[in-house]
Amino acid sequence: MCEILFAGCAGGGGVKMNGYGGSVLTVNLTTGEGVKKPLDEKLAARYLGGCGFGAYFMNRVVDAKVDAFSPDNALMVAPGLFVGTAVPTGGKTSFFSKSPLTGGWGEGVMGGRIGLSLKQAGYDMLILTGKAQKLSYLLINDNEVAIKSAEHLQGATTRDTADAIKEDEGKDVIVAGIGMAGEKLVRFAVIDCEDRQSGRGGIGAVMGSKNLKAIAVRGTHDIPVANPEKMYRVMAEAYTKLKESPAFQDDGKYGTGEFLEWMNKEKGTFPTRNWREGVFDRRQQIDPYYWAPRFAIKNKGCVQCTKPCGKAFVMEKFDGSLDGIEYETLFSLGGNCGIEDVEYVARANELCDLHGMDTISAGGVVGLVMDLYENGILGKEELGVDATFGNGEALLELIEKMARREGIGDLLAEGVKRIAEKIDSGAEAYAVHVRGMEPPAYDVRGIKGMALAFMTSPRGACHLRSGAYALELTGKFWKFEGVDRLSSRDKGYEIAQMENFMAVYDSLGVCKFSRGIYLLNFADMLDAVTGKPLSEDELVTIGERICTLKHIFNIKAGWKREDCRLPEKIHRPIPEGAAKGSFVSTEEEREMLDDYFAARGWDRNGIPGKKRLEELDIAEFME
Amino acid sequence: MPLELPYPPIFIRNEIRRGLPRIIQFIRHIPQPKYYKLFFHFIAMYVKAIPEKCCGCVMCEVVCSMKHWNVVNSYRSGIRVEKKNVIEDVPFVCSHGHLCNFECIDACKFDAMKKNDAGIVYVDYENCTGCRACERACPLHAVWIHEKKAYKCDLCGGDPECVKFCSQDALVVEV
Repeated sequence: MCEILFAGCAGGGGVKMNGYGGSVLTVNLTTGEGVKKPLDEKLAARYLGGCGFGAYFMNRVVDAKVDAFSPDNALMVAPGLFVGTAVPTGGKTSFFSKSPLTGGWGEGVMGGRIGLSLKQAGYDMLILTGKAQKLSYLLINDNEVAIKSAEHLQGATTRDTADAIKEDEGKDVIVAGIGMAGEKLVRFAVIDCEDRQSGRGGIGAVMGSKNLKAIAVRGTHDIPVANPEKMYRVMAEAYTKLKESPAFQDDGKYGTGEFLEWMNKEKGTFPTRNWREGVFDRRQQIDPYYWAPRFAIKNKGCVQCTKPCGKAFVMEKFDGSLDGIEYETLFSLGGNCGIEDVEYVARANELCDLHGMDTISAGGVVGLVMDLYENGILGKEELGVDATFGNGEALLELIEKMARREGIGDLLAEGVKRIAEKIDSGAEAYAVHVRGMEPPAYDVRGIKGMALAFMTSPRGACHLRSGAYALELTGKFWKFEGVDRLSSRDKGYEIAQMENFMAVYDSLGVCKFSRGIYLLNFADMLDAVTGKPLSEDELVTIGERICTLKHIFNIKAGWKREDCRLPEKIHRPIPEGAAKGSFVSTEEEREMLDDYFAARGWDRNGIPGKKRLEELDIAEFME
Repeated sequence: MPLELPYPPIFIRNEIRRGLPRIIQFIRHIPQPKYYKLFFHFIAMYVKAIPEKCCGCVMCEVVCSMKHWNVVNSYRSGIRVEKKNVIEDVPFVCSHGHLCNFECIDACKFDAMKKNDAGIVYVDYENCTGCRACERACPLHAVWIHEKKAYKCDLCGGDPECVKFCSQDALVVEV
């Protein structure tokens, strides 16, 4: 048995609210104290849940100026509103913290079961502050909170951690933990729950800096809904709609990487070899149409998901299996490093999962290293491997070193921006990042709306805060039509609206891959769950409030307009493919940003005016 | 007034419960049309779980607790999915005598575990004390105790909802 460092009961009571757990739990890891407070109903109505609560509490609890690794930074977990309410694909949980990678807003969404468990334990928000004396894990057993020693788990992989804790505490606890990378403060470490990861921007490292190995939750209470009969009907309708959609077939068979060939051939916007090219010429094997029938044995889904897009991938060359490979990982560990053998990509993905690292950032770093190696800035004696593009063994070794911070790995674990700064000697030109965050698999030279989205996203280059890639690439979505991806005109309003749209999805906890089916028609579902239906306009206002709050956090953390710039590689044209010759110039960058700030009602420097804040009812957050 | 047959004493009931399913399991191996159901109608259908297809989304748990209790709570569901590792998600659900010999009914001392005319094994919540005897007895690990009550599959009265909401067809109705 492991040593119990602190055990107590979270005092105070919760309120009974339809669709909510009803309370907010704050645990001070330094003293081990847990405080349970009832959830404010007004707060719930204004921020819905998930990312909305995150935006509110991050601004309230965390001083934006503190160092991300200091005990004053907080780690927050918030299940979305629809978690635990039978809405299909509504099982997403968000993690928040100040990001050690970007030094600003940090956020990650996962489909693990931890959110459902937390909500069943009665918590809509879990706030962890302080720092434990030694490596430990937090056990939440409904009302009981205990901090237990996890020293025997030092260096354990995420899967071993979960297994060991489950053995001690019972099979039914849900564990979200970090691996080696989180403990070693790798700046893009993530949190893992049942092979679903969350926390781009290093939220896993924040967890590691708090000496916290895992959060284990057992929640056994009911989650009530306002109108069970309607809930059942709405659920059945949504299920049928999802099942009949063509996306169900594609995702079900090939996962999210299904459009890889289309991105390469038709659009020419699949960033390759550290963003040198827009088409990966050796993509045959990493295409899911090749590997899914050969290696995938079944589908894997998030909690409450009825259109699972994960694949249980069993490798032949290596001993192991994983839940993947996702489209972004096919890019970052595949195309971006020039790897053509899908099994190397899978193994690298598995290593990232085991050590708890973000695959996009890890791939971005390895891509940069390979680029620097080929251009003679980094040598073999420093790296210890022959890091040419396409060398799978080198990829695996670099990832292993990165997670353990061994040798060159100590530098690599700092992320693309800091690597380029430390190496100097022209490395800046090869570094692809926006505000320190490595970008995902959309070559924004050929998708200009996404270029703006990368700049304005609160957590650095991110595709999911706006999700505008689908709109840009297909030309129409929601209320937009005839969007030209190669033009930089009128993108401000579009991206601002899409960000609001996605903020609603994050606060409701709905999967973004069902956005084409649900759009913002949540009135029925909200009526069934909370009894308070919200129209599309009301939801967009809530979305805007959340986006603005995230931006306010960034401003308090020292964000400036000058930070919003694209890496140098984006200013050079794509050499070949369907988007040949397209690039984003500095003028376009400036124009699009102006346009965006105008659409948001902020001033030229991106600072929200008092009037706009009052309209959104959040004036008190900005001094 | 329908004809009422005398209710057989307990040892005969036990013999019928134990013996007949074994005979039926034997008969089922003979490639004949399933006429036996006409005669042995007290064996119900059951929800068969196929772990090889299960994606671990726990929608079945959500739907089950929603259907029976109007709330979402995996602990009050009659089917549960255990995630063993990355590639193994195993749903546990009652087989209503197809893969067992009604051990839960034998084990229950309070007459809370019952079988109705259709052969569905269900929990009589008026009698259930949560003594865990059924949980321990079930060879399929498909009965659970939560807050002093037993929870298990009751086939939703013959039309299982979890099967309808399983997107991967990992749950099928088997007769």
